[in-house]
Parts: sequence; structure tokens; C-alpha cells
Amino acid sequence: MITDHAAIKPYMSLLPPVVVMAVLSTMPLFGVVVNVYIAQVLIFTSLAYSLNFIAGLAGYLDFGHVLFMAAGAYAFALTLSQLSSLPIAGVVFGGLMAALFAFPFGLLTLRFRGLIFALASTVLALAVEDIVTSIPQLGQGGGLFFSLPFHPMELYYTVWCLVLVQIVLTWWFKRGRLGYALKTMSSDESVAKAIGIGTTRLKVSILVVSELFAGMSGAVFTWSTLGVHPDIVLNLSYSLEMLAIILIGGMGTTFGPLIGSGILFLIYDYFIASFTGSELIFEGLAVAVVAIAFPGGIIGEVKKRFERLGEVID
Amino acid sequence: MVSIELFVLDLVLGLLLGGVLATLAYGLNLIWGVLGIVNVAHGEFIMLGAYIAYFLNLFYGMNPLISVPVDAVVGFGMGYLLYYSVFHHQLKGKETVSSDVEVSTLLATFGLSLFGANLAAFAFTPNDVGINWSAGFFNIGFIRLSVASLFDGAIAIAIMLIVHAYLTRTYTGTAIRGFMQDVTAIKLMGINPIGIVSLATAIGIGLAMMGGALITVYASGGINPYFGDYYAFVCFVIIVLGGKGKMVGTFVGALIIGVVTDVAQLFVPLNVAQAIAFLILIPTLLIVPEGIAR
Repeated sequence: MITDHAAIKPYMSLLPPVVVMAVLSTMPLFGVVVNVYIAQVLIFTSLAYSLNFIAGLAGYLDFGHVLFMAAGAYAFALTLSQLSSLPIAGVVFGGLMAALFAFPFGLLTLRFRGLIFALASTVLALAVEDIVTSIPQLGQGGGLFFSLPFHPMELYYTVWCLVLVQIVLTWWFKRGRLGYALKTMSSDESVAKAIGIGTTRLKVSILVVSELFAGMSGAVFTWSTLGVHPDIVLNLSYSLEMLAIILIGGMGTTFGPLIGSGILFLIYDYFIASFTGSELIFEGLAVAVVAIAFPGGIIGEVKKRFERLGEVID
Repeated sequence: MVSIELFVLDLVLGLLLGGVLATLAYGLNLIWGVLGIVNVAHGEFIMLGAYIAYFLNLFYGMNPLISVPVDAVVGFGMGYLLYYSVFHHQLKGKETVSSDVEVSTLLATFGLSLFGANLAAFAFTPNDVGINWSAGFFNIGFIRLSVASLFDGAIAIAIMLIVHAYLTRTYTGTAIRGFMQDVTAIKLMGINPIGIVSLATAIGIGLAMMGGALITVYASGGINPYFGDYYAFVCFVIIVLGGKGKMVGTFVGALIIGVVTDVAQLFVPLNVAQAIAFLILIPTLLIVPEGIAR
């Protein structure tokens, strides 16, 4: 439907997340506590956006996403403990490592669709966890640790840039030919193939982009924790955390992951403050309820209820 | 070099473990075959079954094998609860499962799995607990077997035989199998599809919880709220190996996985043996995507 404001409409959906990001860019001014806290939220937002590419846009539920977060995390830890003292170098290296692993992983697993892909990626992640914990160079089950001077600003703006780049990329991927190709592929891959979309190339490239950012976010995560431990970075519940964020916000949307992580962290803080250890219980329940009752997430509900607002937000 | 005695012992233990794994996997397979959705929370029901065995042992001194019927009853109820709380809303009035229902139920059961495991960690503490029960050992030739694992495997196989007899010899059992093949035909026969689907879920969860009680004998590190996930994912591998909805395939697949994990432990560390069990999935999917059974 072509309307008067058709010329500006495509750019409108980029506006809300960018405004939020602009507000977030001033957060370090409010002191180091706010800075560190928001950085933590942004790290998970960044991980969620990276999962959004493959799970939301391409329609492949990648439970093994945590594998690439771990690849980035281990690469960062190895760089910082042995090669260089520049964290940014570690972040870039972490992203490249993850992308490098993503390519064979994609060629192997993306030929399966739906449930089987989800299971194959989970099972591969579990197998890699078992293997990593028996390699001495990677610290076996003990992990790797290193020390870095405390530079909260540097960390904050690195992850802030990562999120912003991913917001713009998500928005860009949803437009034009690429957007239509992805939409067709995620709803019916056989149809997409039949009308001449190179699905294999498309989905492997999306996976590589997705895991590149997963690796970089994993590296920043390791930067914030000053160490990498297989129980933490290879824990499947992180995959769920990312899924919970994009599911609550709205899968495959530009603004959704940002909203989702905000809400999830609010829930978290409430429950950590009241009774520790219970936050995962409520997160699991929230995921189950949202998946059954509101599969479109918050963005999906807003689009359904408020037509005018739904045109702007995506 | 590993001695021949150890090899044979692990082979036998692997077969017995395979029997228990078959019980767990068939529960999942029944739900997958009939409903067309994967219950990722399967591991949490296994864990719950194991904890029921643990608490019955702790408070009443019952051995885990006697708690199997208790688990069966509780599991049957939990299965109906699961069906009506999670699956019913998604499946009612549909002939086949569309891809978005597949995704939403996968996510819902994944959330449920996290919910269950962490609720259990909250209620039972996340520590490993073990069941204090041993029925002694006996020797066949040079093999020294524990009586517990032998009875365990025997009960698992008995359960499988009963379920098999139920599915092939009774009216509702045949209806369940018919449902896997042709939903429309089943409806034309005047069978209530909701009744069949919820019954299949109940039997599936019942099998998971009975298997949970049986697996306590083999869970060498003890049981904890998260231990079910490993078995759930092993079950997925077994089902893909044996073929979706096929009972004999599941049984053979479970025996293969049981033997592979047990025998591999002789040559490589436990972690790597588990990884091998998982990695069997990939060549299976590439070479025989429909499973090894006909």
C-alpha cells in the first residue's frame, strides 16, 4: 500500500532504537556503577541481536549460538593472555574466530530445517563443550584467566558500537530484495528455492554474520568478567537467555531485542533483589508463556493492537 | 591395551544401559511421533522421576526399582497436565503441525525445561545426591555384574515389551499408532483425536519418569536438577538414529548409543565419550536421515 509518507516510512522503523541508543550513549556520565551495569545489559542486547539474525530473520532456531559466543570468549582470553594487551584486538580476533567456525558449522547443519536444525545445533554445542573441557591449552575444565586495567568507558563504547551496528544491519537486512528473500526463506524454504533464491548462500552468509557478532559480543563479555570458564560461556542457558530476549521483544524485529533485554533485566533485578537464584525460574516461565500466548513478542502485540504505531515500530 | 574382560563387561553394561535409554527415548519418540513436536523439557521429567526415586529411598527406604510404578502414575498425570497446559492450545483443530507451531512449542518446552530444572534446584538444592542402595554382585564366567544394573535392564526391557504389546494389541494402542500414520483416517474411524494425543503425551511422560527412576542406578555422579538434560539430548540422538515414531528403531538406537558410550569410556575420557555419543547424530542425519530401522 503506497501512502503519502511512503518515502520516509522505511527510515522510521530505525528511529526508535537509534533514539534509545542515543540516550544510552550518555549513561557513562552518571558514574561508574551505572556505566558497568548498562554495559552488562548492552552485552546481552548485543548477543541477542546477533542471534536475531539467524533465528529471527532467517528462521533457524540456533540453540548452539552459545558455541560462537564461547569461541569469541576463548579467542579473546587467548589473545589477552598470550599475544597482546589491546582489548579491541581481542574483540576483533574473537569475532573472526567465531565467523571462521561458523562457516563449516553452517555448511554442515543448515541443510537441516526446523526441529532437526535446532536439535543438531544443540547437540553439536554439547559435544564441543565436552571436547573443550578436555583440551589442556584451553585450560581444560578450569578455564582461562587474565588481568586487564579497568577501563569501563572503553568497554562501554565498544559494546555500544556493536549494538548500534547490529541495529542498523538488522534494519538493512529487512529491506528490499534481501528482506523479501529472508522473509520467504523463513516462512517456506522450498518456495524460496523454487522462485530462484540461492538459499544455501543466503543462510550460510546470515549465519556467518550472526556468529561474527556473537563472537565479538562473547569477547566483550569475557573482557567484562576477566576470564573465561566453560561452565559459564558454554552454558546452554545463555542460548536461552538470548532467545528469551528476542522472543519477548519480538523475533526478527529491529527494536525487539533492545526492548526485550530491558524488560528481562528489570525482571532480573527485581528477582535477584528479592530472592537470589530464582531469576531463571521466572525467565523460563516467561519464555514458555510468551511462546504460547504471544508468539510475536511485544513488537508483534503492538503491531496487532495499534495500527498507526505499528507502521513506525518494527 | 584394554583387556578383553573389561571390554566384554562394558559391552554388557552398555547393553543394559541401552535398555534404560530405550525407555527414556521411546517416551520422547511417542510424543514426537504422535504430536509432531519435540518436548525439550523431557529431561526435566527424567530428573523428576529420579528425584521421586531418591526421596522414596530417603524417607521410606524403598529401592529405586520399586519406585517405578509410583513414577508411572505421577508421570501419567504430569503428561496430561503438560498436554493441556502447553500443547493443547497449539494443536487443537489442526491436522498437521505447521512450522510456526513447531517453533513455538520448541521454545515453550525449552522455557519449561529451564523453569523445571531451576525450580528443582531451588526446591531440592543444586547439589549432587546419590541413592544409597546396592544389591550386591554376582559373577558370570569372568564378568562381575551388579545385581542392580541387571534388574534395572530387565525392568526396562519389560516396560518396553508391555508398551509394545499395548501399542500393537489393544484398541487405543492401535489408534495411537494409526495417528502417527494418518490423522484424517483416524478421525473418520470415529476416534477422538484429542483423547489419543493427550494419552500419548501421558504415556510418553510416564515412560520418561519410569526411566528416570531406572537411570539412577547408572548415573555414576549422582543426580542433580540439571542431569536430565544430558539424557534428553541423548534421547534425541537415539530417535534420529532409530527413526521418528519407530519402536524397534528406538530400541536398536538406544542399544547402539549405550554400548558406544560405555565402550568408548575405556579408550577416552568420559567427556569425550559423551561427545562421541552426541556426534553420532551428524553422520546419521547425512547418511540415513530417516533412521536405520525400516
